[in-house]
Amino acid sequence: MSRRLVLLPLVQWLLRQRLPEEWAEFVLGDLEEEYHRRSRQSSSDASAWLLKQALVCLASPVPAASRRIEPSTRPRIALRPGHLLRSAWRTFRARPLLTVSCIAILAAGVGSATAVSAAVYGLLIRPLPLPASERLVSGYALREGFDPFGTSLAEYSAFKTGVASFESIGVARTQTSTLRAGGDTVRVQGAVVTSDYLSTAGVVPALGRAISPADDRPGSSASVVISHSLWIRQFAGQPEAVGRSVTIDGRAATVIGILPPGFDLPSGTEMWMPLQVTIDTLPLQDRLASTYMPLARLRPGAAIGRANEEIAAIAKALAAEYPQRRGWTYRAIGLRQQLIGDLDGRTTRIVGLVVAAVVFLLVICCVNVANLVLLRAADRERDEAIRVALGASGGQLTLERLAESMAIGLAGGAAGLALTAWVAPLLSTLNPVRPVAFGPALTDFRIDTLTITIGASLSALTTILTAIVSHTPSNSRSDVAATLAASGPRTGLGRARRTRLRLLVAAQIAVAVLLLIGSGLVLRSFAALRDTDIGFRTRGVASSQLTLPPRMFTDHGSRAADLERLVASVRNIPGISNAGITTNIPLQRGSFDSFYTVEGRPVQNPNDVPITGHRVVTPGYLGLLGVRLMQGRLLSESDTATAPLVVVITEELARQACPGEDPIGRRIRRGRSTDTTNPWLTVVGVVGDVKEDRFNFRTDRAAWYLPYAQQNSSAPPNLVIESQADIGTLNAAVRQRVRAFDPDVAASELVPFDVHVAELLVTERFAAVMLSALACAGLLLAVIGLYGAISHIVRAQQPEIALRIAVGAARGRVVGMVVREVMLVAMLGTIAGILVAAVGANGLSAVLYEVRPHDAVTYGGVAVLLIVVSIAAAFVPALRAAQVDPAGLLR
Amino acid sequence: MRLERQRIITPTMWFNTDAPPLGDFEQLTMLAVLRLDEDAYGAAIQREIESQTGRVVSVNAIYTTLDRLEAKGLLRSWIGAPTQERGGRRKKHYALEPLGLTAISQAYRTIRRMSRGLERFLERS
Repeated sequence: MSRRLVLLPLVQWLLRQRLPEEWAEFVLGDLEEEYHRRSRQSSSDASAWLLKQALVCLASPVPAASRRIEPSTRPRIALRPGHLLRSAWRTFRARPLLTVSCIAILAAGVGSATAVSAAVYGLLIRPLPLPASERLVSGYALREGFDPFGTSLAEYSAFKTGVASFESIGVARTQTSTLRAGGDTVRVQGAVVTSDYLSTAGVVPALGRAISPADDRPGSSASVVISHSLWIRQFAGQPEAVGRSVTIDGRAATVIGILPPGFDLPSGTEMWMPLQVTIDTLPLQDRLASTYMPLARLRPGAAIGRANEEIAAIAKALAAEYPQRRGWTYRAIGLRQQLIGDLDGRTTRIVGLVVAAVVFLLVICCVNVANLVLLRAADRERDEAIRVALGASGGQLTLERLAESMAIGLAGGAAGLALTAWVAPLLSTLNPVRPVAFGPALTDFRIDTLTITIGASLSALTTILTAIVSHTPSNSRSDVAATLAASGPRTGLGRARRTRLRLLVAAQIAVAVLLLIGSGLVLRSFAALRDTDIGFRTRGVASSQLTLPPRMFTDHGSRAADLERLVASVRNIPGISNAGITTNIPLQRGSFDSFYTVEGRPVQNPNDVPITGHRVVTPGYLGLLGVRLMQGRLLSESDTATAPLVVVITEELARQACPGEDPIGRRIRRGRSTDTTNPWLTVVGVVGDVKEDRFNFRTDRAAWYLPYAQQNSSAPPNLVIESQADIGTLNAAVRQRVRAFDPDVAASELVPFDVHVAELLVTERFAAVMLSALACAGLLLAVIGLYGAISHIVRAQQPEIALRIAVGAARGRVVGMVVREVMLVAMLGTIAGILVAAVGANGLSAVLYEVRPHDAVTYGGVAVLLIVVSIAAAFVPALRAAQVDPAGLLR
Repeated sequence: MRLERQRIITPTMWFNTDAPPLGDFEQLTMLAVLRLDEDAYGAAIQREIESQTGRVVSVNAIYTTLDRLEAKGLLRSWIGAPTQERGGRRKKHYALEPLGLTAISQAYRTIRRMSRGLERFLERS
């Protein structure tokens, strides 16, 4: 009795959780009534019965109480998710490999697309960690044929008062300084800034205070704001660092503030010192030195275009005031563009190209999956016809198919997102760009809510697309008999379905061809860039930047002698075969340039001010760099301070300075034609062009090389060494020599020239790697699609093939038949792809180097590749077709 | 080509008439409702099927089927009074709609027509 008391309420409670409310009362009432009735005969039987009823109720899916519908001859469409899920699960069980392939393909598509979105978002969209960072702009000066310049203080003060679109503007000049805090001397990337630089950026010190206008006044005591990383590194993160006295370049300064982590404007800066000058009283030369990086904040609502108009007006006024400024233009660009070096929009275009490629890949994935789903639908045609005959409605079947597509889409999307988490960090290690500042923030391709939203939307999109492409109108009852008759095991594939399969596969091939052509062009362009003759040796050459104490700059003669001694000492290090000094490493940011005048060639147009790259080097440097000597001689030990003044020029300078003449023996001088303070220099040699400019990598620039002993240069010298040994092992030895030479001289790590050059092409390499990977994936998917479709068609055609063989067709003809089928589809896709590519390729010309958008080699190569790959894909199905046993099949 | 897992095909399903074709269990349920007349409600229908066919069916299945038949317009229902032995709960009674009667008689006619002349096989086994 006690069991009865417990069992019934328990079962009733359980079922109440499960049953629809509309039913609960009647079902529970029935159970209780029946249970009591049975208990009167046998209590144990009744309990067993009750338990069984409860179990069945609990195990079966929750029945939903239906709404009353109009009487109809068609059964109700099952909209219940449980039913649809079960049907999806059933189809998965029936063909697990097919389903897993679909999911994997979608995962690859969604994963790569989401990862690229994360990268694009991080690089181009995510706001910088500064307040209202979208209003921050940087700017540069342009002069025909040259690297973008910085801004000068004259322009800074003109912009500050004259550009109404700017809320505020500040400038910074980067410099490498030695910092001594306690006993330790370190080399630190620093910047002297106007007091409004940090406030324009909107950065607020985490500790202490920022640079105030009072700090920036000439004659104020020296102060410095340091970065968070420097604070951690040199001051162990102690709050007492604020207020401490340090020595910067031999001058005492007080640490007044510590900035929050991550801030390193203008370029990897860790130390900010006030500029402390009165611009109006500066000598003209200093006022016009274009060595400052501006940072301005637009007023809310102000457009950068408007600011540029105002700047252009000011530039005109400046050109009238300073003849030196004629022919210069200024441009304000978004801070982000400046940081990622996207001055001419090339980076954005390359990123756009990768996005387009990933979209194409996604389309291939969708079509591929649709293709597979369609193949399966063909397999099921008969089953479905039977189900329709049994009373299933077309709507029901469509719903089931949709549920299936949805389940595949969802699973693929989820797997794709998981893939993104793995791929996105991989993309950031590919280093698509080398930002000059805020590197970690810009190359942080993390998975966040936004990325997940993008991924989810993409998978929803692919699901819908797949469902649409693979949708086949459901069998209506009138077709049932026809379908059943046409889809028997001994008949082939329907004509319509076969055409559709062929078209889908051809479409995939067309998109793959597009991808291949695009990536082929970019790859060839990258190869051309990489193989460009840069005019100097990069293998086995490395450089280190030296930071000299100010006292070494007081006397040029002794500095030149000191550096010669240092070079000799470094040259003695075992493993180092040669060493030299130069003021400029080729292809680095920042270049020293100089006006020049050729003897006996007055400038025709006063606005035409010739400029050459200005490099002051020790005698061994040019030989070490491996430049080609075209005429005359290189610089030598005999070009001492007391010897006649000489210069070695590049071919481009020779072309510009002495067109059509022998430059050797001609005299040339620094400065404009009106400036006679500099002595004449005799040209003793002409060397091949050396690529010097980072941004104009594609063009040759004029440059000259002057002996260090003869030319006073205040530029920080670079120590360049040549060695066949591993550069890493030489670092310590070189530094030790430098320290022994003078403890106040700091030397940076040795950086191989290979690295300098590789850094130049990071964005191109990123595009080449990404596009090749995407194109290969596209090709692979298209071939899988082709293979799948052809095998299916062959399988469906087996009876026909068997019949042909039985009536005497040679097996070779059967193979030919299959290959013809494949070639038809492949050619169709290839031709369509090439046509579309030919039309669209002109859009690529902006990112191509020495490769035409209609490069015949690329197009032809892709066509041949496609045909070869298609024949390979046809091989297995063709062989299978040839081995059909007519007797077995017809029996 | 594989067939879907074996399904019971009832002959009535092949006819396209005004009344929708009935499944096997639907037929049993309809017949039970018809047999029980005014007294057709869940527990009674369940009992009737069990006593006539020996099939033990779950109350869940019964209600799902009744609900579906009602939605198709083959049955109608009404709520009775609460009783003591049901723990004070009410009954839900069912009766055949005219369309339901058409559907079940159609099924019956079909089976009878199809089995005509086969009695010696059918009744022996």
